[in-house]
Amino acid sequence: MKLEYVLYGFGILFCIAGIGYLAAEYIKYLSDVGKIVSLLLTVGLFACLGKYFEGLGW
Amino acid sequence: MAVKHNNLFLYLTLACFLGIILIFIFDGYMGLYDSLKMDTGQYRQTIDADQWSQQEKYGYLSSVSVERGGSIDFTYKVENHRFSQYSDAVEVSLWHHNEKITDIITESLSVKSFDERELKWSLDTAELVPDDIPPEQGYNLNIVIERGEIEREIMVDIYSSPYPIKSVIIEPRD
Repeated sequence: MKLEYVLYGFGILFCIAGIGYLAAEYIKYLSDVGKIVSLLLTVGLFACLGKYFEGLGW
Repeated sequence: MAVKHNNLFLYLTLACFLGIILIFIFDGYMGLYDSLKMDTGQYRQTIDADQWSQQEKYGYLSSVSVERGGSIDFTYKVENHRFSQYSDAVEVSLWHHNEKITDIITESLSVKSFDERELKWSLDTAELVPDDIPPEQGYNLNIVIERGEIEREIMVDIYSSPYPIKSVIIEPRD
């Protein structure tokens, strides 16, 4: 079970690193609609992630 | 039931992540982008694709300053981040107060998919400033880049040197 959490941790880190890289490189090319939808999806992503870990008992 | 419900949040998280990736790929990366590099020898300046859109939005002009007698090297780059080839006519011309002075480049530009093309030219300000302009007076020119229906404009500010070279005669000491 602990190994799973380590893997989850790596997964989350890679997700954040990936989004961070894309944001740094390409956010200047996004349209205004793309920016707001990305922002909403990012909020949704962390909200769902929080609920998932809440369900796991964290 | 609780496990299934919990997995639903995990799937929603992954869906949000994929959504962000897809937006960045199709709204951010895909498309046609142009940039302009200007090198005066002393300073290098780049106008990126997002700066062009800011100019269109707020209606200001990017400018480059060069000392009278100096030259500027321009590199106009068109990046085609699309699955199809891009072809269009490119015209670069020089203007002064809504009066065209000369055409710099007139050619057909063709860029393969996921490739880029560069157009280079130089301006020698010594040849561009009319003789009747006094040395202490500045002069402005505009460069207009027309690519299909898209028009880019840059102001070239030619300034006179604030510290002109003066020859000083030093008398030898006895």
